[in-house]
Amino acid sequence: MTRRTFLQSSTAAGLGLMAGCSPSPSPGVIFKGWVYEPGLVRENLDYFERQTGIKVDYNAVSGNYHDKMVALHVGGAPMECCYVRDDDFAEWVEAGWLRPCDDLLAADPDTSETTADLFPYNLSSMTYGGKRYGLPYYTDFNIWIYNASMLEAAGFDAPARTLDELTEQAIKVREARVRTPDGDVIEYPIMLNFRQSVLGFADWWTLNYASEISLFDDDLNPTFPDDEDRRAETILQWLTDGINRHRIISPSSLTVGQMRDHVAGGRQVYGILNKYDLEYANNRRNSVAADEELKRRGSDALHAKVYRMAPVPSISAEQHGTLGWTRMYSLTSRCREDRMQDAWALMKFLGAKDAAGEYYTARRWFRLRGLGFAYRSLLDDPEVIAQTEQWGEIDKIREQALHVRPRENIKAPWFPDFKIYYQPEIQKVLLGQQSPRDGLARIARRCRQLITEWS
Amino acid sequence: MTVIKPFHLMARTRDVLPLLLNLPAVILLLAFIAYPIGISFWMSLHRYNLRRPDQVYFHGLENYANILASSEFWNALWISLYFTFMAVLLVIVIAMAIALLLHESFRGRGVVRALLLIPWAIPGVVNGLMWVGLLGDYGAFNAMLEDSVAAINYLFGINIVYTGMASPFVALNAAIGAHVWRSVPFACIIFLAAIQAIPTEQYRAARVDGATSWNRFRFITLPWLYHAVLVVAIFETMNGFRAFDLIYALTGGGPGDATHVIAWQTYKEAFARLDFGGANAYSYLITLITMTLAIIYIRLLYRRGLVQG
Repeated sequence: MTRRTFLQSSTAAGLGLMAGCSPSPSPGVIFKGWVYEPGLVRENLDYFERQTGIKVDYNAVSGNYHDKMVALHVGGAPMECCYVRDDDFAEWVEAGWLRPCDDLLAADPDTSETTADLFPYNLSSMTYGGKRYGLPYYTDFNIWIYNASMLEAAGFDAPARTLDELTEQAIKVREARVRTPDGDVIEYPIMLNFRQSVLGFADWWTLNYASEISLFDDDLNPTFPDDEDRRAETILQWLTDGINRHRIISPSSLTVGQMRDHVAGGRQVYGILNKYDLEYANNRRNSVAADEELKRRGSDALHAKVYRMAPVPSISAEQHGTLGWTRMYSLTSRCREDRMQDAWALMKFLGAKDAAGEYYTARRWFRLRGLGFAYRSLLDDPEVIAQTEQWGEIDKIREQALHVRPRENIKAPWFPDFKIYYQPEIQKVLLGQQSPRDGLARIARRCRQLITEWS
Repeated sequence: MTVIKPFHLMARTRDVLPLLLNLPAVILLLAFIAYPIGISFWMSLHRYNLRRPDQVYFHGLENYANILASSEFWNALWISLYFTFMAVLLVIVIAMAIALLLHESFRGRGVVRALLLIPWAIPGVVNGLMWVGLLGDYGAFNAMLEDSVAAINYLFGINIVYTGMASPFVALNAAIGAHVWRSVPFACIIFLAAIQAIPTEQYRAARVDGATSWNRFRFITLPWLYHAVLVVAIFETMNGFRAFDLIYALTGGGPGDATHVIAWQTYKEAFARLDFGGANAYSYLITLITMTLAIIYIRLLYRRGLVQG
């Protein structure tokens, strides 16, 4: 090949590539989501395409979903619908990136039944300024988990119910020098997740809600640090003492990555977990602890209930709350008019019922990955009950589901500003760099500043 | 009507042709460098929060004033200054030591020089994730540190509680260590090139005069390396102030605000708060600080006559 022919062919190839990259309108519904089991998502979409004949142009957005979607929205990337986290929901509505779907719901009588079937906190999480913006992808809540055999080894047959009882029990568990499946002594029985991250600090809300604390009033003014009986301060003091004084909570709680992997490794006695991760933690494919237990029993089952759920420990025994969250499908404001009905059909298939009138996608996610659902009737579904009983306890889940709350200020326009402020401040409290009261007072002061700025 | 004679036409073509040939490059530079720099400065003078797209308006230097009045900025600035100072110092010392070693003749020197480049070739985020593994709960470095603390406790009869990356001190210095590990190869190459340019006659003359190896280093090698030190110092200062990907992957800014370097603060302004006006102002302040430090380095070394222009 001569230099000239090389240059000519390179130029031709470059131009061809550019032509190939030039934007052309997608023939299908453009749908984007974060990377979670994209293969299973594609299988669901293939089923939808076969049912309806509507093509879906699906793209799993890798990396930091929030940041990349911000870039795509600002850049005006064509997109009919996408996944939305309740954390980002208000921000995206305020920015004008999402389209309300009340008109589509009103024109579609089938949806009134599914709307009535939603858990109230899910419905509330998808509504902003009186308008509905989404259908549920999945939803879940945090649960308290404990390793029953480790507790038994330490001489306990049930987990502690209150925070004070938990302190006493955890000290005794630590002193009993219980071991992991690898034979290591567990130095800190409790691991929580207090790593700073986009979705971090759910455990702080969980512990507050377990003690039925309202951190914000109806106008979203902070109630702490002088809330009823200063309970928010009590929670933070318990955490600080647990790390620094009693040494029952691992300091790695401030840096831990994926909690479920830590649990699946059988390296902790107690902790807070997403409910659906209990399936992961008790599944021998992922969990050393479950695998060891099943081998010991000589069982070829897939799940072992090594970790069990219990009410989240609270200040007094009669309190039962926890934190819940909602992930949803929403139409974007750039949804093309001629694709609107197709996009809505896709939303309904994914977030409600399919053409056959089944909660197809929600059931499938639950069956394959244990993901929580937003529809109450599914809790009575025999298949769901049988499936749950393999790795969890349906009665406890039903009971806990009655006491779920979303973060009170999650729909405040200043929530993103609050999020990046309170996480380091609470970590400073846990590190002993400031007192719980001072930390809470600083966070409350910043909240009031933000309310003024955004009002 | 003026008729251009062929001679004039040729002369004009001769004048214009170089400009025309440069035009594509100039257009690209304007489009991809000058325009973004200009527009980001313009945005830094606006209230521009993506959460309120209907409330974009010019408000002069208010973003800058707000940043300078915030405790977060000053905290991040001090952390960045510490991070950068330690990183520059360690990179220069370690890279110079390695460069001096690699200048010596030994078997397999070529292989060692090639291996040295590996950390430099690793992307920042990958570097961060690798150090997460090494310094995490089950990491080798973490185990070594934990054992070292246990040994110190045993030897001195004290009770230091080792908390790994949950300790602000460990987290910040581990981030500096990881940054230095990745930055040393580049500095080493610069020093190695500078060492190879030193005339060998000077060393021979010094040996004849009975100079010790320390004196040969101090009075010959080091003065010849001042220019390279300046280049490395400026480059590493810029790198230190812009350190973001490593922090993102390794510490996520924590624990507390121990690793809230200024580039992390900029990221939070842009992508957590969606305040693009404020984030652009932060970026310009970083540029200003880096430039100021570079000017200080150059002035100091020129004033002492250590670097010739």
